[in-house]
Amino acid sequence: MTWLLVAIGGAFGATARAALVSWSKENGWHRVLPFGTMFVNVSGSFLLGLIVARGAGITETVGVGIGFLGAFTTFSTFNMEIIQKIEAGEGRNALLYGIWSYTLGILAAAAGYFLG
Amino acid sequence: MRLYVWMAVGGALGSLLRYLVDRMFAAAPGVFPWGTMAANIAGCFLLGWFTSRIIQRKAWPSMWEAVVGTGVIGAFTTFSTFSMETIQLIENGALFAAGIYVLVSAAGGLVTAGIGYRSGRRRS
Repeated sequence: MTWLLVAIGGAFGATARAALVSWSKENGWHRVLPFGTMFVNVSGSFLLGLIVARGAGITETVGVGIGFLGAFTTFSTFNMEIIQKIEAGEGRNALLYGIWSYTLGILAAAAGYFLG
Repeated sequence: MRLYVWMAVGGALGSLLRYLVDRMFAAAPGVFPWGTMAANIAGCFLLGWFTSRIIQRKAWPSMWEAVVGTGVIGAFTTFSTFSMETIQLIENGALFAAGIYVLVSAAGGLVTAGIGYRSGRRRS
């Protein structure tokens, strides 16, 4: 049963991320730094903090926490974006993007956790 | 529309694989999160390779690049669980482990993404 929850949550999470990032690219968010990806990672970390703090039941923890938010946020695309900034000779932007994503992501999880 | 249906299938598959890896390491809350770290670092290598070998060479139709790259590999790795696990380690007083977790994930993810990217670019 938990498998099904993870799969359903993951299906919606990845689709929501794809739609949001594609919308943000079309609206110029990715021109300087990939702000669309940064937004899903930071907001997803905040929401996971809230869910964990609430001590939610199995449906929310597994389906929403591991499935939906796990897939809504991404670590591989984030690192690939850093590599592509480095490849493009934008080392400073690569560094800024990495530092801000980690700082805001971890702080957002903490904020969600303490507010929840 | 068809893209989003397959994206959902890809996301379900990537999430299930991540869950499987996490279960293999039998992660408990507050214990060092080996499972997430392994999935994240492995996913970075895969996406690096996939980017240079498949996407940049236009080897596949663009819909399948998105389904596998953004869907499967994107959902296999996670940022929210990583952030939350860092907070849980800090809350349990395991400050050193939290620092190691962030540093190894960050350096490991970046280096393996770079290695994957370079290895996919090499002529076979």
